[in-house]
Amino acid sequence: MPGTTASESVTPGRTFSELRRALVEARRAWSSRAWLGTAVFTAALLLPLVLPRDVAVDRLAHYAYLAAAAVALGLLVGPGGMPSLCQGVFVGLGAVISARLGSVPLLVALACATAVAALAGAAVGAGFARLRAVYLAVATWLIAWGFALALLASPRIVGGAEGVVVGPGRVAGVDLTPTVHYELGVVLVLVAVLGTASVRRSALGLQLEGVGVTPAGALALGVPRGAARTRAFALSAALAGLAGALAVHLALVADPAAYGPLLSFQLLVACLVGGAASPVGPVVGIALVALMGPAGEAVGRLTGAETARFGAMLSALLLVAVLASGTGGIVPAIETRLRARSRRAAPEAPAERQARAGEPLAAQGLVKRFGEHVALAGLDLDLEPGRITALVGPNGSGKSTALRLLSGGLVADEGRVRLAEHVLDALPARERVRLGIVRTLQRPPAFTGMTALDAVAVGAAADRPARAGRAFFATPAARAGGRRARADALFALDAVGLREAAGRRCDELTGAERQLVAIAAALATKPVVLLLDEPAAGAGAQEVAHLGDVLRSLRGDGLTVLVVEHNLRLVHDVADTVVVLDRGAILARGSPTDVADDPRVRAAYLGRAVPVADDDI
Amino acid sequence: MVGALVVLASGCGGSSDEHRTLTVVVNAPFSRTPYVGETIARGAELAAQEVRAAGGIVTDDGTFDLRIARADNALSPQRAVANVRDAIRDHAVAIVDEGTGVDASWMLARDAQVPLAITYQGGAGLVDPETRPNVFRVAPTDRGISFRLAEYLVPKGLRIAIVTDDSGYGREGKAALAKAFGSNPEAVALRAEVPAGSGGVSTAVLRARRAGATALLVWGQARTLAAAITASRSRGWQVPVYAPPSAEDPLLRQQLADHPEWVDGLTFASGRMTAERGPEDWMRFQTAFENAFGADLVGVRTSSGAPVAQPPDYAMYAYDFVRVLAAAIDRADGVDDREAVLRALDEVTVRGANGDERGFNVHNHEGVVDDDVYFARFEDMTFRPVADDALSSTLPVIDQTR
Repeated sequence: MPGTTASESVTPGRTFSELRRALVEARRAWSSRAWLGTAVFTAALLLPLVLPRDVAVDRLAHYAYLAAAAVALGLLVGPGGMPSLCQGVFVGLGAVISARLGSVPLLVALACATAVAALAGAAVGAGFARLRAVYLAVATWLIAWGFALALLASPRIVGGAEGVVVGPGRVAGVDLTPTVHYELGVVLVLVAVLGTASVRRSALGLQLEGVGVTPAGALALGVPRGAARTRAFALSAALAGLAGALAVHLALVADPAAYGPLLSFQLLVACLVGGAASPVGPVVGIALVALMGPAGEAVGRLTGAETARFGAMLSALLLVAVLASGTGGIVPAIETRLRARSRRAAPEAPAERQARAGEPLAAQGLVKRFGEHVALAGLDLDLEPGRITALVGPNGSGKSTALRLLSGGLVADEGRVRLAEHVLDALPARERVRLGIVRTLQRPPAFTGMTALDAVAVGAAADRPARAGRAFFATPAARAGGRRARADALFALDAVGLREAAGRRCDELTGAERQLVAIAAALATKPVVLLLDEPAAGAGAQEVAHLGDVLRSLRGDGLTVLVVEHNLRLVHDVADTVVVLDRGAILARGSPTDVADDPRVRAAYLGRAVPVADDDI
Repeated sequence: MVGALVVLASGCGGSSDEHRTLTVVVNAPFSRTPYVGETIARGAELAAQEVRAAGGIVTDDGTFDLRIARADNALSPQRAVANVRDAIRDHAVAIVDEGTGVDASWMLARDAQVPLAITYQGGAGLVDPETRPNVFRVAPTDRGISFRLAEYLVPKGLRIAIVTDDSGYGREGKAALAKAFGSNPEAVALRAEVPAGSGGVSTAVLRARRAGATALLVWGQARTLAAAITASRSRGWQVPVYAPPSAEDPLLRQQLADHPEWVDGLTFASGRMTAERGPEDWMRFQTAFENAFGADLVGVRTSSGAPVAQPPDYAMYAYDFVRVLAAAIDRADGVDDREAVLRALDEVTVRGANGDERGFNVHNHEGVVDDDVYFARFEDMTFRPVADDALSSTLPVIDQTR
């Protein structure tokens, strides 16, 4: 065809193959849970046909929109570990913008409302991404109040207490009656559930979860915390904005009082009660919150007291009960019980292994001072590919400081670090991870609630593209990203001999197994230099022996390995070179046997120069 | 068995002997401004009781009683709209509305051919027989009150600071005052809008004083008005304060109960309670109202220790509308033809609680004429008509102590 480029000519075929692949994946993933979800969704869609006439479809539609906003919030609260208390702001923003744009076509108004809410969400995410959960909750709560006060102070924009009146809306020739709103709400909930589930499976989801459950561990693996959280906030806000923009045409008025902090609180309560760990949890939470109103009225009637307060009181009691149960919400509690009955089989063995060859890492004259204290006084190190170097020394000798300087966790006061031809002096940790220098922590990250596979996949996903939109709509690239991250994670788990534990939760693993998971997560980043900080801490003799096998295997793969370790038996067994530090300076360097025989080393460890057997040090 | 059959028979079928109960929903802020909600609901309930006592509304379609259902709008337009939806779903025959959210809810009521009667708010845009044929009002209009205020205040040579709040009531008042004082801009020292309630009122009052105002005209909810009086009096500014009917709200006197002298002199405009025929009709209504619900005690006392009771003037409007509705149902011979009921509302007239004629026509859905606005001034926690206004000076003083 004239004018047709090569890329255009292959597009239909590629699209077809991607669709076919998606179908195959869907068919593989189709389970009894998928059947149940389909049945519930279909029943929800058909509900207006069978409801008695006196049942308020408009109220159901209202709660469907709220459920969509809550599901979006669940992405932040669940994997993200961010208890945002300003989700109602984005709902309100969408509603007010949609109402103010009442004269433009509804689809345009919806698009604008969604976009503005997404921008606002990105701004909040970028501003507060680094905050710990409790401070993030406070900060977002203040935003919710600020928004409410801003609405109050802008009667010209939001119509004062009477709000902005809007029409019921019309799309593609269809009047948006309460029933149509209900159907739209149910579809929006489904899209939100599937979309956020897709995000959770994607590289972005792994990054979010890693940062959420173990910030230090995820950062050590090079996960871009700020970017991941900002994207999640933007996506969550966009969904909430769209829900608000649609809901305002159901309510027929953008009522500023309806978008106060109480709405944000209500949405968070729904997430916590239903369980943010599951995309469906917030839907269940909203259903329960919705039931609290009539239940409160019933209690009020029984007691003859003012009824308006009992709904909120019952919601609070429900929340307290769920939090006290420690189950993480109703849906996760059910899922845990079901999982206990049918434990998943471990994933299949990896087909091939993709590792990078090691590269030499050199440090020259590294100096680090903390005030008057000199932690390192001119350290020189040469780490070679295919060799294990052990850094040993008494407590306070500067081992961990050296490791942090090499990994970029600290900036040296003097000296230089080179990776092959790259000079790394001012390069931050995340950039060094991208170059292949990755470090494990002295205390292995807990990765609480995550499976071993997902925990390791955090490392594999750290440097993968993580576009929120692609992840939400499960584009081929996003699905492939998540798939590859888990495949790489499986290779890494296999490398440390933990493939059988891939489906187990990290909090069910022993300390030594968690160390191996941490090493696997570091391996999943495809490093060229591996920096291990006391990997044998807390391990028994058998586990230390296994760790030794793992380290030797990594050496065999050509990796450059530096291990800081107190277990000198392990050091003796695996190290090619031992560097002994004392008071920030190198005391001795050489083979394990040479170093063990060095009287200065014995004096540093034991306080006097006495001959001892190798095994004693 | 026979009893069960009788019950079943009474629940279905459509014979002309049928005795049915029709629901009238009162959509009002019961939780946020209880006085307004209660007074509207009780007025409507009194009328419904009287209809029942008279044997119901007898038509060819059967006999109808009226039942009053309450729906709290909490001053939220969104809730008000939801309440109207619920009322329509519950097959309400009419909605008696305080006025919040009517701009959005009237369309729903129109589509269901349900009449919606406003018995508190007087906003100009709320009622329009041409575009909103199902919306009626039995309450003084903001236009009438604001023009009467201008007519009363401008000749006094005052420099007036107009403070309104951002409630629907306040914003409608603001628009009405802008028109009323439009031809006398020199009389206005300042215009300020404050959030409904107490927030920001002090600043507005301070600005008014600095602007050289010699009178405050505060149009807003009772809480806003109380906050404005507190702000001026607590700073020793003895400026005369004028207000719309919200000054009658017992909440204001309750909030200022510790300083009864601050309430003295507060002057407000409202619809007159008594008609040209004299106070007898009104007194009959007030007695019936108090027999049914007890005196509406404000919660404050006069200096002599007598409890103060609020006259049921706004209850009168809801009462009158329900009686007009009953007459319309009678005229329409039932409620099966909702359009006929709406048409009949434009055709019937009843004698109102105070003896005035109440009714509407296709060109006018206002049940209270602007000329009926009078002025009253507080003294010792009760109010009485002022002497320096032609209409007000002719009105009798209604005893407000019990």
